[in-house]
Amino acid sequence: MIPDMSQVGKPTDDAWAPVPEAPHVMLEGVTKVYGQVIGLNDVSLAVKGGVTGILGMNGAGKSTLFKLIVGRLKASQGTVRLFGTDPWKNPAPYARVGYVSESEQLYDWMTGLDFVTTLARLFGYTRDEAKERALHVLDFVGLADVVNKQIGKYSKGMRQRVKIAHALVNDPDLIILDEPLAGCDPLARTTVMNVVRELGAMGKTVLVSSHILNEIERITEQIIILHNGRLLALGNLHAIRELLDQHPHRILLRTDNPRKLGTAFLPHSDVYGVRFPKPDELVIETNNLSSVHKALPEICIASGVRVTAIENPDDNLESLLGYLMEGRS
Amino acid sequence: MGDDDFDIDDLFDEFDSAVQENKESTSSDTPADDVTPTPPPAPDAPATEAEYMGQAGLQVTGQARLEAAFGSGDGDEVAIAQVAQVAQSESGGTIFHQIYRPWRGELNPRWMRNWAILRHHIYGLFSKGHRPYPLMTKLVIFGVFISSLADLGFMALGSLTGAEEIERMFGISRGNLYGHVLAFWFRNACYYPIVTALIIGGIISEDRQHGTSALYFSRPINRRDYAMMKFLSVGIILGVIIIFSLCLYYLGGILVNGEGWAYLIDTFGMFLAALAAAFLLVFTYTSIGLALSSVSQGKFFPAVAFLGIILGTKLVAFLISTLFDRSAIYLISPYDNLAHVGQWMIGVNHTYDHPAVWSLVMLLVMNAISIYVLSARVSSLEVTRE
Amino acid sequence: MIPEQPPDTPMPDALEMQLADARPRFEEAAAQEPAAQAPTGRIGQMQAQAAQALRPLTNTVWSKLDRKATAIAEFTLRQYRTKSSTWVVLGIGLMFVTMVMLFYAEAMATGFDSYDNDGDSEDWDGDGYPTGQERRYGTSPWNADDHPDPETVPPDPASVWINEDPLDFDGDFRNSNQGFDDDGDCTGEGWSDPNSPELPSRNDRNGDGHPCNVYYRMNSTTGMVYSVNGDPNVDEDPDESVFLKEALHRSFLLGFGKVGFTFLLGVFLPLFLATGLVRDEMERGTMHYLLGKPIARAEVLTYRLLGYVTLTWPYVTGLVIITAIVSGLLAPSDGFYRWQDLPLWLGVLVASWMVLLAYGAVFSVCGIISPKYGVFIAIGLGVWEFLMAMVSLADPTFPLTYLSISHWGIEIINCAALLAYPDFIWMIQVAEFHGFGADIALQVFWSPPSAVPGSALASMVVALFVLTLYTVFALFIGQAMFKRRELD
Repeated sequence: MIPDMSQVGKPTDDAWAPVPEAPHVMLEGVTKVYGQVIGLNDVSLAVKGGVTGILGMNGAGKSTLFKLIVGRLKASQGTVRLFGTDPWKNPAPYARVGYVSESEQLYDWMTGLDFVTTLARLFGYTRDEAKERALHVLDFVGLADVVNKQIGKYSKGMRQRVKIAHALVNDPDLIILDEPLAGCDPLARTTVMNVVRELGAMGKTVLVSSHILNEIERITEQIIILHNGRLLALGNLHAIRELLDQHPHRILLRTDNPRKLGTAFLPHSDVYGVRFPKPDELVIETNNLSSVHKALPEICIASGVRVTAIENPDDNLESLLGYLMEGRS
Repeated sequence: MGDDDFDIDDLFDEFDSAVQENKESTSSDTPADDVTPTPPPAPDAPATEAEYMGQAGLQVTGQARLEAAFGSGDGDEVAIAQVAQVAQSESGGTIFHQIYRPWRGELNPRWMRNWAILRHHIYGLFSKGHRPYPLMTKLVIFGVFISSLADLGFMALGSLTGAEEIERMFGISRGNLYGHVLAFWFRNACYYPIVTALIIGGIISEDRQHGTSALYFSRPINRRDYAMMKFLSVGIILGVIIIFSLCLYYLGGILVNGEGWAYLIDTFGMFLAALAAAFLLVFTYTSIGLALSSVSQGKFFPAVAFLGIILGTKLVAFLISTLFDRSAIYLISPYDNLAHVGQWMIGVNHTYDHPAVWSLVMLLVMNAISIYVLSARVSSLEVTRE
Repeated sequence: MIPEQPPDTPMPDALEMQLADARPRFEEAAAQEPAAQAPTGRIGQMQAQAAQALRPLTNTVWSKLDRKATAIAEFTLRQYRTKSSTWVVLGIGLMFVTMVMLFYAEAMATGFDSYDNDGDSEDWDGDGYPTGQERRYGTSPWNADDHPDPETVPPDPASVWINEDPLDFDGDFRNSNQGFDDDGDCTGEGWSDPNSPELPSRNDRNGDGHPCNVYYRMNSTTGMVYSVNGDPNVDEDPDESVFLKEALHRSFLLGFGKVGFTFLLGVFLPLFLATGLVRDEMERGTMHYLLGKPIARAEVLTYRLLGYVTLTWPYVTGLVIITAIVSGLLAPSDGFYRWQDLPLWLGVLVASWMVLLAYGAVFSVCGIISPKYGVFIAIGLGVWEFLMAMVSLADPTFPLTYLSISHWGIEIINCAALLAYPDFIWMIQVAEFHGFGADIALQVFWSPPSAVPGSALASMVVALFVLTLYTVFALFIGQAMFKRRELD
C-alpha cells in the first residue's frame, strides 16, 4: 500500500510535451492488447492540471485508456503512472482520483445519498463525515432535492450526475469522466458540462471523453485525439486545426441568392471553389479558413445578399479525423 | 383505440385513396367527404382483437398479421403508406422516401413457428447460431449421457467376456430397469438433477434478463406456445438422456444376448412400465425446473433452487424418517414420490411404508403447482428488459 | 441540510471552502518541497513530490481499515435485504427447522411402549400372580392352584414385571464390571428359595470373576466397547421406553446437527448467498464503484465475506438456540431443562459457523476464478459435498471424504457428541446387545471421531484446523485471482 518509489516514472525527452513535475497521469509507450485486438497502441502522454478532452470514435481506445489509468486493466507493454505510482499494483493513489465509468449500472435499490455515503466511507471517512461530504457533492451536482430518492427512480441525467457525485466525494485532484454526456438530454447535458467546467475552474485535473467534438469544444480546448488505439493529436483544439489549415475546408452559407453571393466570393485569393448543393445553399471551399472567415462579413454585406446561416460542416470529429489521418499517411 | 367499430382495413383504404388523390392532382376540388370510407359493418368481436388474435375470432389460426410487431393499436396504424414512392428528383439521382406499411402476407402455420422455437433450443447443443449453451453444460450433458449408458456397457462387457456374474448383475431385470431410471445413487443424486439444473437454469430467466423475451412476444407467437416449446425442448434433452438411454439399454440387452420373442413378451411389460416411469420423471423434473426458471431473473438461482428442491427435500425426509420413523414425510420429496410410483409401476419392492397412491397424488399436485406457476408467470411476463 | 442552490449556479461556496481546506495540505507539501528535494534532478524531485502527495494515503490505508470493513459489510447486508432470494432462503431454513421440531415434539409426546423381554409379566396359569412373582416365591407359574398366599403376598400388577431390571452403567469406562441384578433373578436375592432351580446354575457365565454382572471388554482410554458379555438374567428386562427415548433424543441431536445444520443450512445458505458476492458485481459492472477506492481487492473480498458472515452466523445461531431451547424442554431429563445437551449444541453451532465460513469463501471464490463458469463449479461442488456428506455419515474413515468440507463439519459434531456424552458408544453396543439396535437411528447418525481415533478433543482441533485451512486457502486463491483479474 505504501507507494513504491522504484515505480515512480522516469522523465523522458519525447516530443509530445515536456514532462511536468509529478504528472497526475503519465503513460509511456503503453500498449494494451485484448487477444487479437489492439486497444491502445504505443500511447505516451502526461496530464497535469486543467480540463482535457479525450476524443475518439467508438472503439478508439478512450475507455481502455481510462481503465489503464485507474488500474482496472494491466498494460500489455509500457508503463502507466498515476501520481507516480503504478495503479495496477497499488490502489493507494485512488484516494486522489475520482473515476466515472462508462457503465450504466448503479445500485438501483439505494438512495442517492446512501450510494455516495457508502462509497465515501471506503476512503476511510467516518459515517458522519461521509454523509456530510455526500450531501455536499450531491448538492454540487444539483441533486440536493432528490438525495433520499432511490437511484432506480432517477432519470438518466440524474444517474449520470450521481455517478459524478460519487467520484467527487473524496475531493480528488484528478477526475476522470468516461462519456459523461452519453444519453443525456440537452438539459442534463448542460448541467453536466457546467459541472465539468466548474471542476476545471477549481483547479482540478479533469479528463473527459466523448466522441462528439462539439461537446468537448464547449468544455475545453485542450484535447487528446485517439484513433484506432493510436494517439493522433494532442494539444489545443484550435492550434491543431490551424496546423491543418492547408487542408481544404468548407464553409456553408444559407442564403436566398447563392449564385450572386458565390460570385462575390470568387475574387478572394484563398477561395478556390464554390458549389451550390441546394437551391438555397452555397458552399465555399478554401484552404485558409481563418482568412476567409475574416473577410466573410465584408463580402456578404458588400454583395447585399441576405445570409440566414453560416456553418462549418467540417467542424466535427469525423472530418477532423479525416484530415489527421490524411496528414499521417 | 377509442371506437370499437374501427377496422384496420379501412385505414388502408383511406390511405390508398388519399395517396391516389395526391398523385392525380394536389389542387383537386374533391371534397374531403368523398375519400372518407363508408362506416364498416359492425363485427362480431372487437375488430382489432380479431385482427390480432386471428381471423376466426379469438384463436390463433396462423392467419394473424404482423400487427403485433408494429404496435399495440394506439395510433401507430396511421403511419402506413405505400413503399418506395419517388419523392423528389434531384439531378443525377433519385431519393426514395422510406415509407413502411405492415406486412400483409400469410404467416406460416403455427406448428412451423413453434418448431422454430423448439429447434432453436435443441440445435443450440450442437451448432452455433442457435440458443447458446455454455460449453460446460454441453460437456455435462454428454458425460451424463455416456455414464447413464454404463449399465449397458457392463452388460455388453459381461456378455463378451462371458462373465456370468457381471451379466447377471447388469442384465435386464425389474430391478435394473427401475435402477436405470430411478436409482438414487448416482443417477438421481447426481446425474439427472445436475443436467436438469444446468439446462433449466437460464431457459426462461435469461430470456427475461437479456430482453430476448421481447423478441418472442413482439412476434405472432402465443405465450402458451412459447412456454410449451421451452418445456418440450427441455423434455427432449432430458428424454434423450433418460428415456432414450433406457431404450438403448433394453434393446442392447436383447441384442447382446440374442434373446427371442418369448423373452421379449416376458420383459416388454416391465420395459413399458419403466418407460412410463421415465416419462413421469422427465415431466416432473422439467415442470419443476421451468417453474423455477420462470420466477427468477438469473440462471443461477433456478439451478441451485432445483438442486435444493430435489436433494434438499430428500435429505430432510431422510432425516425425519430415520429419526422419527415417519415414512410419509417422503411425500415432500419429488424424487421419492417418483421412486415410489416407479416402484409400484415397475413392480419392485416398495421401500416406503405409505401407500403408493399418496405419492402419485403428491406427484400430481407438485406438477400441477409447477405448471400453474409456469403458466401464470409466462402469461404475466413483461416484455421489457429487466 | 444544505440550502438549495439555484440551478444556474452549480458552484456552491461550500465546495470552494472544502477545496480551500484541502489546499493547505498541498501547499504545505509544496512548501516543504525544497527541503525534501536535496541534490537530485528530475527523478528525485518527482519522487519527493509523490511521497509528499501520497503521505496522507498511508494513513488512510492502514488506520481506517475498520471503517471500510463496516462500510462494505453494511453495504453487503443491505444488498441482501433487497434481494427476494435471501428472504426465500432464510424463510425456508426457518420452515425446515420448525418442521423438524414439530416431528420431534410429536415423537417425544407419544413415547414408546415398553415390552416384556423375558416374558415374566405373563400370568400363564391365571391365578393372578405374574410368572416372575411366582418364581420368586417358589410356586409354579403353570399351576393355577399353586401360588403364594394372597394374605401375606398380594399379587403384583403385571407392569411391575415389565421393566424390572434396568440397564446399569456407572459411566466409568475403566470399569469393566458393570450391571446389577435389580430383580434378584440371578443372585436369588429376595427369593423365598435361594437354591430354586429357576435360578441359573452358573451365575458367572462370562467368567470375569464377578457373579451376576455384565462384563464390558473395552478400551479404557477411548471408551470403545469391544464386547458386552452378561451373566444370565442380569439387565435382561430394561425399560425400553426410557432407553429408546434417550436414544431418539440423542439421534435427533446428531442427525439434526449433522444433516440439518452443517449440511443443509451449511451448503445451501452459502450457495445462494455467497456465490454472487463478487461475481455478481463483476458481471453487472458495478465492481468499479468498490474498486475505485483506495482499497485492496483482497480487502473487498474479505469484507464482502464479512457481510455474508454477519448475516448467516446470527441466523444460524438463532436457529440453534431455538432448537436447543425447545428440544431441551421436551427431552427426557431429570429437571426442568436438559442441560447436558448444551456442549453438543455448542459443537453444532461451531460446526455450522465454520462450515458456513468455509463454504462461503469457497463459493465466492468460485465466482472469481471464472465469472462465466463459476456458477457451474459451485453447483458441482455442492453436489460433491452432498455425496461426501452422505458417505461421511456412513463411513467417516473413507479417505476421499477428507477432501470435503461437510466431512469436517460432521467430524466436529461427532467430537462434541462424544465430549458431551461419553457413553454414546456404550449406548450403541448395548442397544445391539439387547436387540434394539435396528430400532434406533443412533447407528445411522453416530460415528466415532475419525481424525485422531480415540481422542475427541484432538479430532475436534484437527477438524477446526482443516476447516480454517480450507477457508484461508480459498481466500488466498481468491484474492490472488482477483488481483490479477482485469475488469472491463
